[in-house]
Amino acid sequence: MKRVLIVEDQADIRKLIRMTLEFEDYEIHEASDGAAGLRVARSLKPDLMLLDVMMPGELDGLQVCHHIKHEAATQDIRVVLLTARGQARDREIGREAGADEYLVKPFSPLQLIETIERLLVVS
Amino acid sequence: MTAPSLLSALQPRHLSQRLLLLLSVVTLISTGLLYRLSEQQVLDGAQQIALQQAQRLAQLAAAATAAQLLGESAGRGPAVLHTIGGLQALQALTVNGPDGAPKRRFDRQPDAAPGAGRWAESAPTPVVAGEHQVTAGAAAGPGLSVSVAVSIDEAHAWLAHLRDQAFGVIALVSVLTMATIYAFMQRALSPLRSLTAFARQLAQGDGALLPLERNTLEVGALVEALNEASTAMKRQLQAMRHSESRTAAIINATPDAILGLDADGRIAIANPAVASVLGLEPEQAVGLPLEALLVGVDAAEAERRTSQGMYMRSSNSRIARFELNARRHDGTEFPAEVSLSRVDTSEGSRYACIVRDVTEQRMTFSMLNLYSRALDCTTNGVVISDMSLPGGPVFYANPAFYRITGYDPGEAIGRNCSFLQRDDKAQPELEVLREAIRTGDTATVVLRNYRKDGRLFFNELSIAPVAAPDGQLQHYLGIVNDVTERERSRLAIAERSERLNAVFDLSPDGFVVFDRRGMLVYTNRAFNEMTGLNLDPDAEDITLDAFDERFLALCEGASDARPLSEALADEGAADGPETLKLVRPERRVLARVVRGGQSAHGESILFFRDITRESEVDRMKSEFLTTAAHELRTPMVSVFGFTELLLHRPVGEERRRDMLTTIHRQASLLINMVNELLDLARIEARQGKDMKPQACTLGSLLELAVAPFAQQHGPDRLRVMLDHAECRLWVDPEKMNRVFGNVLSNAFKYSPEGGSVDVSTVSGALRGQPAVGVRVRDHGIGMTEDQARRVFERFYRADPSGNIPGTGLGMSLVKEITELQDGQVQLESRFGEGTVVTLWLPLHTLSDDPAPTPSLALTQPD
Repeated sequence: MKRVLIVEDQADIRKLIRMTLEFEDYEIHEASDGAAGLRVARSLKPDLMLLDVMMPGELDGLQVCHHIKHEAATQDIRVVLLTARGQARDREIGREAGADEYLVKPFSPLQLIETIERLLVVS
Repeated sequence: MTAPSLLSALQPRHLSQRLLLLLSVVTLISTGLLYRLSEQQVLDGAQQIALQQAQRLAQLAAAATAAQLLGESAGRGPAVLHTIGGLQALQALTVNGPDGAPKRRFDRQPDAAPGAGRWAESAPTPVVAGEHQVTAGAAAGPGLSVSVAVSIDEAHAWLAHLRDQAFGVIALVSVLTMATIYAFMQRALSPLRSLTAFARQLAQGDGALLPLERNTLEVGALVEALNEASTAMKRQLQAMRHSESRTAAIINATPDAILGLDADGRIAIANPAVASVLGLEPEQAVGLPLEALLVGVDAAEAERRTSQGMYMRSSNSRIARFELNARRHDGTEFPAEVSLSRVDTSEGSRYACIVRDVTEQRMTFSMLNLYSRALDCTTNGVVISDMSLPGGPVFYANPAFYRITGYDPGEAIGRNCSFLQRDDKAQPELEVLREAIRTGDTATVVLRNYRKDGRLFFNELSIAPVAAPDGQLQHYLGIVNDVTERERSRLAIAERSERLNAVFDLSPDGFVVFDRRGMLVYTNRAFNEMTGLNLDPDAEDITLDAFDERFLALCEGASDARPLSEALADEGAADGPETLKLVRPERRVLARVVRGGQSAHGESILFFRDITRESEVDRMKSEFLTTAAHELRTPMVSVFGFTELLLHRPVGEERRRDMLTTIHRQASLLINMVNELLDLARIEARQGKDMKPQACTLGSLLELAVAPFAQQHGPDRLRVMLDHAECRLWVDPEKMNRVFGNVLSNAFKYSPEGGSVDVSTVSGALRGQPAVGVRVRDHGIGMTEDQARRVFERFYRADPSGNIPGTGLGMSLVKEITELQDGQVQLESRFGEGTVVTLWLPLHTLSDDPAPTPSLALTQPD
């Protein structure tokens, strides 16, 4: 079973994602801010992270992504950035941080499932 | 040789000798005459003496010896004879008888030896007076008489001797006298010799003076006279010599040829100038006919011309002046001015001729004429002032001067040029002129002058001293240039540049100008303020590269910046302004535009605009949009996602309800945010016209505002102290609710550690009116000074990271609404300690209407 880590400050959105993925064969984990997300990712080594970009606290999603992708232990984790910023420049920044995919809020749950599956099949 | 001349030849030359001779002659003649006269007198005297002697002798002899004589024998003679016979003069003695016949006669023996027998008795013959003898008789007794013959020789000899002695004395005296006179004459005449020698020197006119020694009055007078004569002579001689040398100098030095002609019109004398004027040596000229030098002037012509000429009584001459062509020795002709004078003497006419080469004079005249015409034609006014006269009056002005000034010659000549200034004397340039004239210098100034008709004109006046040949400043030349048009345009340009300077100075944009050589020539105030460089092109030479270096030192990422010279070189390629980020003296963003090679002077202009604010606003706007998008999109995720799940998945009733609740909550949030944005937009757009103020109490307002927070955070975190709950206010309760809400919301948002929020009220005054303050104190993260200062700026967010959600409009709304209701927002904050916001609102005193309890619908859009 693949592990998916959700890092998102908004409880409603975490709930939405969990509900979206509940019929799939995934092991779901959650974190409510960047620092917690990174901590969980390092210990849990999930196959995929759904990472919110704008979060309160010391680390935002981009920084967490950067850490994940630059640490040998975690660099294999697929990262999908979830962001309200949909400009080309924002996508570019996400790509530079090492994100595998970039979903702009509001996203379609069906599209989310599809994206996760695609990424996990490739790996 | 005639007798007189012989006589005069014999005459001694020396005065003393002459005198001596004269004396000798007179003495000799007078002595001769005297001698001759005395001869007769001596003879007469001797005769007289002899006669008396004879009478005495006769008486003597008669008395003594007559008887004896008769009685004595002849022989040796009577003794009486012996006695009287000693008288040498007695020559003969007779004793006469009564008849008078001689009885006896005794004669002296002339040859008898002395003492013996000198007497001899001879025949008694009467005594007859022989030569040199006289006779006398005396009665010697009765009948007897004595006659004696006495020789006068003795008396004569004696007298002659006396006479000779007298003459000897006379001769001696004469000789002595003459010697004395001679000596005196010699002495008396000796000054004459020195005087003579002196008089001989007089002619030399050296002015020597004789000493006035102890001389006779006459000599003294003569010496004085001679000294005077000497002095006068010297003076005259000097004057004469001067005059002569002058004349000679004039004749020799004169540039004119001077010729003396004889009666035939041939040149007799010529001065050296002949060489230069007529081209031949003076010696060559002598003997030539005048005609050879002066075309057509032969003797007859000369006479004719002089006859027509002016008669000069003083010199008894006639002078003719005329101009004709003279011929040089080499045959060339030239215009000459001839002055020919004729003097008629008993030996015929004499001519003097002066020939002057007037080629140069004519040329000078024509040049002067040309100059004069040039002065007349020039467009510049030319004016000459005579500085030797008091007030330096104008004595010449050319037509252009009159044209420019409008004055007539009669109005300008004789006046000082200052009349052109009229009453407009307060011109510093006048002092420059005065100073120049005082020091005899040149000067050029621009004066405000007035034409005759009163119109102003700008006179670019150049003055220059004109020195007389002796170096004395005599005239000042002034060139008047009417530069009114130029001055007008200059003033217009000056005005324009003044305006531009003011514009540049006031401009908030920075301007920097470099000249063609790349030297900094101008920076405006704004530039210096925005960069803090304070460049002063007047104080130091700053090259373009040095400027760039100093400027880039202020910039962030200076190493990447394009050199200014490069930017100037391809300015054509530059698209839009460059943006430069300054880090010193403070963070600023500047837009720079460069323009190289502007204008004919090849100046380069740099334009700087401080776009810190714009870029900040841009940044804040974009941040706001990002934040707003994030904030708006976040609720949409739930709405969109859950509805999609509901559409595509079968869900149980309970879960469906939960999902719908979430959707509704998130949609509410969306609505709230939209409202806030709309509120701000409306307030901004309408500037408070949609305020609906009403009387209400502070307590009712606050209770309404605090309630949701109290519900959310509980009484532990929100402490409210309402001391002025009854204070009445005149405000829009709905807007005030938004204000209190925003302030409280911030207080909680920026207290992430969960510190308490205290709400209290204070009383005070606002612009002299009683007011009440609502104070909200948190113990959160607080703000730095910079953040606190900017907290009311639109779109500004103290936390740009987005970790604390917000639109950046909350405090803007607070300030806008409070101030639109005559209130004031006071904010104190300490970083790390918390923030205190006090909202001051004026008390409502005008109306006693009971305040209705405001009713609010928080989420209700207007």
